[in-house]
Amino acid sequence: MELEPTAEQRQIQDAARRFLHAECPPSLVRSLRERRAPLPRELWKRIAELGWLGLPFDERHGGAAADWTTIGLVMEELGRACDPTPFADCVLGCGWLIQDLGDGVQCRRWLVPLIAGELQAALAVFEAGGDWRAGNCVTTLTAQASGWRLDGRKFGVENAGSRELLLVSCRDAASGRLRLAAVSPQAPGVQCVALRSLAHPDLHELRLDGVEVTAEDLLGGEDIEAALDAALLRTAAFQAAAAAGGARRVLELATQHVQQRVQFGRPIGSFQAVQHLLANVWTDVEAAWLAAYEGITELERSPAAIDKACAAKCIANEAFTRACFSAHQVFGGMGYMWETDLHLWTRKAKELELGCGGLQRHRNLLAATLR
Amino acid sequence: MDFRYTPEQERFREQIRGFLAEHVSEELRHEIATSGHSPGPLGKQFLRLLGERGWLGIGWPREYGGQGRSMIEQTIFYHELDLQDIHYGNLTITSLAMALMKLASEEQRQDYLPRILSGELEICLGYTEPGAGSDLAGITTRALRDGDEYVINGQKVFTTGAHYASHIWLLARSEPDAPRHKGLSVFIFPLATPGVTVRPIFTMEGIRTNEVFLDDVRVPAAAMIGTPGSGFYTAAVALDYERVFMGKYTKLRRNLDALVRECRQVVDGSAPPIDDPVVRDRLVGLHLDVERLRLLCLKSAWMIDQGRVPNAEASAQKVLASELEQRLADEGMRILGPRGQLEYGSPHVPAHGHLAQSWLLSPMLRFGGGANEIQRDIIAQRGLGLPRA
Repeated sequence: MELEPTAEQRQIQDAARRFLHAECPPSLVRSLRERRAPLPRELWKRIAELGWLGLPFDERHGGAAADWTTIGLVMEELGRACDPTPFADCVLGCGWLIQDLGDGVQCRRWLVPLIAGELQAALAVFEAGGDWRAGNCVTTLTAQASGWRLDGRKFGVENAGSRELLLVSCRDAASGRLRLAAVSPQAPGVQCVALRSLAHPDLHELRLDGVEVTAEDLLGGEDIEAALDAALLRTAAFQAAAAAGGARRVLELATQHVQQRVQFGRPIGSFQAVQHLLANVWTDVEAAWLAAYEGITELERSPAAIDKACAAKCIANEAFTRACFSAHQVFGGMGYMWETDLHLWTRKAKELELGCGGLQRHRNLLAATLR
Repeated sequence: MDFRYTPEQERFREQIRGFLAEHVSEELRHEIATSGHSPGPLGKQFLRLLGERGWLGIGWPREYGGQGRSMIEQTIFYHELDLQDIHYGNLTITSLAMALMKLASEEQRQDYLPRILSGELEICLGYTEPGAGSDLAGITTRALRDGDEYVINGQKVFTTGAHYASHIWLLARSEPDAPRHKGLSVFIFPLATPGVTVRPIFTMEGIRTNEVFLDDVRVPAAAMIGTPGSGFYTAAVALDYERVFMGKYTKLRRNLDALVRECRQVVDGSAPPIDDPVVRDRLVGLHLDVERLRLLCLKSAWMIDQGRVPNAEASAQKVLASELEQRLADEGMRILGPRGQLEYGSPHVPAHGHLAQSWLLSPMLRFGGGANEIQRDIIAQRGLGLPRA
């Protein structure tokens, strides 16, 4: 048993923290949100140069084949910085699916430039109706004279308009089986309709009308549905580390605030009611951090660790949201104004909670494992 | 990072499981379920057996006759006992003896520790008084020096085990002129000492606890643990050891697993409760909280093995364990419906009445062993560095 990262892993985490502290301050997160803009490509390139984009991938693709704890620690730091990057969606979601399902040509075509920071991909698996599983898919892939055509609607695609590649799940009209198609947002028949979310600043619905797809654009694999569900769970486990990192940061902000803010002639942090509120957050954050890394390391050992991965998501997401709400309580008006930073994390907490199909979907998955 | 037990630890667990499978009988379980929290004849026999096999002093250093095992191994041991429904809260061994090793004189250690390990000496805790609960420094029981002796006068209350323990670990004011926290000392002496009167009072669970009256009780000066005036610190050290064991998660895991099994049962052909998605989701909520507690328990035990002292961690564990025990029992009984109220031994009782028993016990868990309000103060002040209220 080893409940802390190694010294080497800590070094990587510290470096990530320093980099994000300098290059990704809350002012940047705020400005991207206000402009509903994606992360500047120049910053993404620098993240690529740090090697983060290749962390999960095999060395044959130019990746680092890092252990999952290391990836989790980077995610934790991104969460701490209120992550405005496409890292989870593009790298952990799409990149990993390309490695899982793509052939050598597809990996060279998409994964290699993705690792280099030259290609950004977005995952388009969800549809607005139904139960937020990969199998809930009515977007259709129909064979035509040459190749296929793609028709349907995809919900909640991040920064859809600005990515180079969209990975769209669809149902093969002939076989009824799920497929995964790579599509450019600029392709004829693709329309990105902006959604107004309180959580993610740049979310879209994808409208696909007769979009042409060739055989080279279709990713392989026997059971795409299972591969997608597994990929969503994997991302959810890593996002739990981001939630734990965000929650800890919010607790730090709240703790600093209650030591400085004076009412009734003393710091409000000396009042027992305030202390107990934050003591509960401390406990939540400790448990969330442990749950996140247990989920990550158990899933690394075996894809069967669905219970641990779901618990990681549920525990960490609940902790993050509760931490934000408690922080709002102690910040009062000073945390509620647009110009203050706290609400950036509050929105992020909800974004993470509703990510990967949402919290309730993972509670349902967990229910099925209860014995 | 690695959240799993090592192969050696897993082997150790198997060893304990084998031992328990061989020696825990249905009769013993029945005795435990019906004899309150004190061991009956079979329980005493079982504890003697644990002593003979060296299990009792599992966490004690070898020089005192223990096995010198790590805290993780100790928690594995106690968790396995819990899973078999054996939960004698033996504070003498897990808390007081540890404090003795740290704070008592060599002579006292040689005197007390072997007798504790053989089961000859069992100690009850004399902290709480009618006028001093959470504010422990407010106790008024006095110990006045008279030659080679102290003369003790006062009253203790909620003294669990005083009717079967051999000795009392008593906190008294020995330095009346010192500041509140600096005037207390801890004494150990036999309950059979003249002037000690033990009277029963019964808890809402129906279990006996006691009042202890001390009238001119004369104890040798050597009965004092540590130096005069060090009693508050001594008590705090013992409480630190106590909290780690109060926040065990296994009993809650056992209760939840029993609840889930019960929810899968088809009674008289009706649909099992688990088919109801509302019930399933409630069970998931409880499962998540048991997982949170399990992780905090692992963390505290692991920290101790790293030579670190869990402070806020142990408090968080105690708060979570006690509040979750109450919620699990309460929600569990609601899920089970009218059968949920039935107690051990009743016809139609679900899950051996574990939840019903737990429900009655749970108010005490939240205020006992340091009220949760005090624990949250500790978390805020030691975990977050906030100023004293």
